[in-house]
Amino acid sequence: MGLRPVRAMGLALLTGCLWAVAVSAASDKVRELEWDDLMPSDWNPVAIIEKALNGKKASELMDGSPEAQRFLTEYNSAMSTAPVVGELDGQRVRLAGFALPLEFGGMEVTEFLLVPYFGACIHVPPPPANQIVYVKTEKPYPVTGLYDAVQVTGTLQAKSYLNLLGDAGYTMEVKEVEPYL
Amino acid sequence: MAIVRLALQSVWNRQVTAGLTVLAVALSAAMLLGVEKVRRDARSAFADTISSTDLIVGARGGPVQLLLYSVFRIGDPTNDISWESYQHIEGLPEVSWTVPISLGDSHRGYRVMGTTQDYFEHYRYARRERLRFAAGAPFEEVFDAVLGAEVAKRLGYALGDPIEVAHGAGTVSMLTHEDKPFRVVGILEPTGTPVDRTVHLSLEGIEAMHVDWRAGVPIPALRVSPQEAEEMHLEPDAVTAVLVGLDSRVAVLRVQRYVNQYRGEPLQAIIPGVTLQQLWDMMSVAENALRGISIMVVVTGMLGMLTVILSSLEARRREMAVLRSVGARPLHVWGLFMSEAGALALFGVGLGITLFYALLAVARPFAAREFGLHLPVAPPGPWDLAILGFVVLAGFVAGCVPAIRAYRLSLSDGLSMRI
Repeated sequence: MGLRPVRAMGLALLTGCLWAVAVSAASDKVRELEWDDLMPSDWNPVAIIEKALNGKKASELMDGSPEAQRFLTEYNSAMSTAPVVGELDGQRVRLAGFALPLEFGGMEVTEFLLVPYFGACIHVPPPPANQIVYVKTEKPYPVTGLYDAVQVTGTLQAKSYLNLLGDAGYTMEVKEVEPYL
Repeated sequence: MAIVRLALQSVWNRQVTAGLTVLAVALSAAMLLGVEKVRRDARSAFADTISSTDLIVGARGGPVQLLLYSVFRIGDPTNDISWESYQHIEGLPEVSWTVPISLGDSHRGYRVMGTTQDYFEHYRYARRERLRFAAGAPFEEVFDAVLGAEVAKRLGYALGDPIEVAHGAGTVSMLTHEDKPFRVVGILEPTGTPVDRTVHLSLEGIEAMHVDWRAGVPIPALRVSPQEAEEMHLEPDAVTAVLVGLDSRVAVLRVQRYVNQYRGEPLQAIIPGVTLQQLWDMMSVAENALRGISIMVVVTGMLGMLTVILSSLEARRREMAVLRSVGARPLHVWGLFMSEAGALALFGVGLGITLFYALLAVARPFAAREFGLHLPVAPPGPWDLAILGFVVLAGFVAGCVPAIRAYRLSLSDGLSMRI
């Protein structure tokens, strides 16, 4: 006799739990991003290079000649204003990369640039603007080394217009940063 | 509990050896705490010295070196950068503000830095703190000077005092700019950064000091009076480094690339945070070595304690036998030695903590003065506590060794008289 109310309560509790799990799963739906996903599918850097080359071959350009300079300037500005994927704006995403520290709080990093690679900065131009994510973290992260990858989860903001120079870019404000293993 | 009391009283009976053992453990614990403290505080002191600066531009060389001389006033600049290059960088569309700095002179051992009023506006330290004036205001005139907190305090300067600047960075100098004294117009509040140990002048002031210098020495025939110097056109030819703030931090990598590839002059731009991390990556080898040594010292302390207890075992055979004869079981004897070793380790660690804070109190002013290293007094962190807890635990474990020995000694062994 006395069992029935208990069982009913148990059922209610179980239903409640299931519902809570379902809801949290829905709101926590996080899209796992690859760095490729941050480039619009119709964005073609090769076309940009060819346009900047103006019908010439890159091997024909003399190092340091005015033409090469002009090509480099044009190419750089095209890369820095590389478009972002507008649909990603406001989506909850997870992304892994390398953290270039910009701001420290004590020994821990509070702001950094998330980039797809590190250590090649000297020899090749920096990654195009749509391959850099400017991250601010609520909980400072103790960076262990520049060559250790990190992973962030949060809402991505894709702005096609960041400043007067037409810089496009991604920003993210996250609660915490995790090491990426 | 009775066992513990018995153990303590037994230890008390051997005050000298026990005291020395406790001291050895205490010294090793203090060393461990000290190494950890310096390691951590050196890091955060460095990180707290620069904030909100996106790039530092200087002559080409090592990135770490540029960071060290431009921000921490450690080491010497590799080269200057021309005023034209500075103006070019200032004019870049991405750049929001620039602060040129010029190094190379000193005042009684404190570095002199030439800069503009923008320095007081834009320089930030420790989580975007601005520089604040304890007295006075930024320099206005050519021969005005603003002192860091420590310079003013240690040398006893007040507003309006005259100071003379020496050429070069020694604590004493044969070549001074005594003909063109500066006047203290501002004193900054303490920041806990190298700013405290800096004398700030205007770039025009630096230029005016050297206006009658040729080929690295003052030429008597060209002597220019301060009044004449003030009238002259005092645009500097070169600066040592430039702090740069950008409109958008997303552009940092691009501007860095641009400066590194600048054709007018070999320049380099560094992102302070990245270079700081590089510095730490380099230092971590030495840090780990230091850590390893301090752990070895702890192990040595523990072994010393073990030796003392083990060697006392022989002398205490009678003590053990008497205990056994009045009804102590082998387990009690075991407990006796465990508590003895544990107590020694515990007292050692306790004394070590006291010793560490006493040393810290003594070393603080010295470290701040000599190395610019600010060591705040703070309770031990979780890592410290874990390590200290481990030392105490190791003490208890070490107690097992003599405990096993004593446990094995039979009752008759101690009672039968053998000399």
